Amino acid sequence: MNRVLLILSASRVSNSCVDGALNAAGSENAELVVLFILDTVMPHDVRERMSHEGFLGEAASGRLLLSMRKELKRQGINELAEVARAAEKRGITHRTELVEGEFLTRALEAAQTEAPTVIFVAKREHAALSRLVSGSRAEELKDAAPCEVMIHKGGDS
Amino acid sequence: MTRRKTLSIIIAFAVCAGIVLAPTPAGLTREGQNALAIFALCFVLWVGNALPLAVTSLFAIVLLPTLRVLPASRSFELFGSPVVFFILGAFILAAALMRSGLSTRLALAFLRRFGGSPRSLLAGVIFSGGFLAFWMPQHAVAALLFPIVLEIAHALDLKPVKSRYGRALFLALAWGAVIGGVATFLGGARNPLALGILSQHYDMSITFVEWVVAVAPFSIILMGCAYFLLLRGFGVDVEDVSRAREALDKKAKALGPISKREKGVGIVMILTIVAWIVSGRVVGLASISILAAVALFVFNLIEWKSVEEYVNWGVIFMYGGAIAIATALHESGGARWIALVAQDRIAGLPPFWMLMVFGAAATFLTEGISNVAAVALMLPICFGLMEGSGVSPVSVVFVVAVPAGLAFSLPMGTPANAIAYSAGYYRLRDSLVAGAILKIVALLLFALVVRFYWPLLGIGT
Repeated sequence: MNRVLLILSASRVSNSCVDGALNAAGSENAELVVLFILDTVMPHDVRERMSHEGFLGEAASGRLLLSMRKELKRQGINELAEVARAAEKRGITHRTELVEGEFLTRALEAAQTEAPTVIFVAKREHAALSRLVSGSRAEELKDAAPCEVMIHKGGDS
Repeated sequence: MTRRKTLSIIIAFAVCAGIVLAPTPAGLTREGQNALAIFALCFVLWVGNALPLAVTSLFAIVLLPTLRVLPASRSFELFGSPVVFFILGAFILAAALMRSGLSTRLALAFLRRFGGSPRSLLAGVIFSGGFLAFWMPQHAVAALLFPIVLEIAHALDLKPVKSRYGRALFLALAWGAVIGGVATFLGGARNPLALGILSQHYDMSITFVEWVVAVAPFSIILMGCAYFLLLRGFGVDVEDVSRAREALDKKAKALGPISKREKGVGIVMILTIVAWIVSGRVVGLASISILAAVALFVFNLIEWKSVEEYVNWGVIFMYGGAIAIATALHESGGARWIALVAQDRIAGLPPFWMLMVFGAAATFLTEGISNVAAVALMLPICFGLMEGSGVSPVSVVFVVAVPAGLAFSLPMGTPANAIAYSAGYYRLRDSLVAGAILKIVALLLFALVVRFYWPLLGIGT
C-alpha cells in the first residue's frame, strides 16, 4: 500500500498542506501517516534568550521551558486529532504519531522508516532575511528525502 | 553552531580587522580607529547573536587594552560602575519577588480585577504586564504571565492562530511587559545602562523620580493605545470569559494565604522604592539597591542558592562591557569622529527633529538586536552628534533609551516577544503588521511627549 507522510509542527501548520495530504492519500488510496514533531529548537532558543539576553537564571527560564513544551504537546495532540477526524470522514486509512526532537532530523528519520511515496510539509513563517541566512528546513528536507516532497506555505491555517 | 552564527563571527572579525588595518582618516586618532573596530565587532556579534551577549562584552573588555584603546586598569575598572551594581541589586530583588511567589500573586490579583468581560480581560493582561514591568525586568514579567495567559486560553478553548481573541491575548502579554519596561529603571536594565553611560561621559545623572515622571505617563497612555489597537485589529470572538475567571480564581486559591516571606519581600520592595525616591541622589541608587539585596538575606527572605537559580551572572559582564565600549568610544575620540562624519548629513536639522531621528533609529534598531546593545551602540554616537547643539545629554538619554525598549514586531526584538510568539497563538505577520502600527503610534505619541510634555519638566530640546 502506498503511503503519504504529512509532517506538522507547532510552527509548521497549514490548512492547504493538510488538505493536500488528505487529497493525495484519498486519490491514491494510500495510508496517511501524520507526524507531529515537537520541535525542541524553538523552546530551547527562547530559553537561551531568557538566560543570555534577559539574564534570568535556570529556575525562571527552566520553568518557562516546561510551560512551552507542555503547550506545544497539547497543540500537537489537538492537531493530530483534528487531522485524524478529517481522514476518518473521508475514509482514509491513517496513523498519527507525536515525536520530540530537532525538526529535520526527525523528519528524515520518518522519511526513511515510513518509506512514503510523497511527503507533505509546510514552511515556517520567516522574515526573508532570516530565511536567507539560516535557510529553510523544509527545503533541506526536500533535498535529502528519498521521495517527492510537497512544500506548502506555512501560517495559512 | 548554526550557519548564521558562523557567518556572524566571520563577518565580525573581518570588519574589525579591516578597520584596524585601514589607513587612519584625518581627524581620527589611532586609538579612536581601534575603538571603532571593537565597536563594529561587537555590533556584528550582537546583531548576529553569534555569542552570548555577555561574552561579546567580555571580549570587548579584553580587546580595549590589547588594541591600546584604553589602559588595562581603566578598562577593567569600568566593570565597577555603580550602574552595574544597581542592576545586580534590582535582579536580586526580582529574584526574591519570583521566588517568594509574590509576583504571581500580584499578577493574579491584578488580572482577577479585570476578568469581567473579554475586553476588560484583554486590558487586564496588558496593564498587569505593564504594572509588573514597572517593578521587575520585563522578560521576567513575560515569563511569569506566560503560563497564566495559557491557562486563560485553555479555559476559553481558544484555538492557536484561529482565535482572534487568542492572538490579541498573546500580543497583549508581550506588549504590556515591553511598554511597562520603559517606565522605570527596574523594567529594563537598558535604562540604568543609559544612565551609566551618561554619568561616565558627562558626570550627570537622572533620579528615579525624574525618570518615572518623564516616562511613566507616556508608558501608561501607550498601553491604552495598544489595547485599542488590539481590539480594533483583532476584535473579540469570545462572548463569555467566566471560565477564564474561574481558572484565575482557582489558581489564586491554590496559592493559599499570603506567606510571611511574601510580606517581607513586599515590605523590602516598598522601602527600597521609597529610598530610591527620597534619598536616591544622596545615597546613590546602586547603594540602595545593594542594601535592599542585603536586607533580603538579613531577614532570611531569600537564600543565596535561589539568587543563583534566578539570576544569570552574565548580567555583570554584559553591562560592565557595554559601559566600557561606550566610554572607550568617547575617550578615544571615535564617537566624535563618527559624529563629525555624520554631521554633514544631518546638519541643519532642528534639535527636535534630530532627537526624533535618534528615537526612530533606536526603536527600529531594537527590533533586530537586544535593546541593551541598541543603547550601548547608539548612545555614544548620539552624544557626539548633539555636542554643540545646545541640547542636554539628559534629553539624548531619554530619546535613545525609551524608544530602544519598544520592540513590538519581531520575536528576535526582545525575549518578551519571543516568549509570547512561542505559544503559537499568533502568526508572525500578525505581530509584524500590528507591531508596525503600534510602533508608528508610539513614535507619534513620543514626539508629542518630547515636544510638549518634557519642556514642562525642564527636559528641553
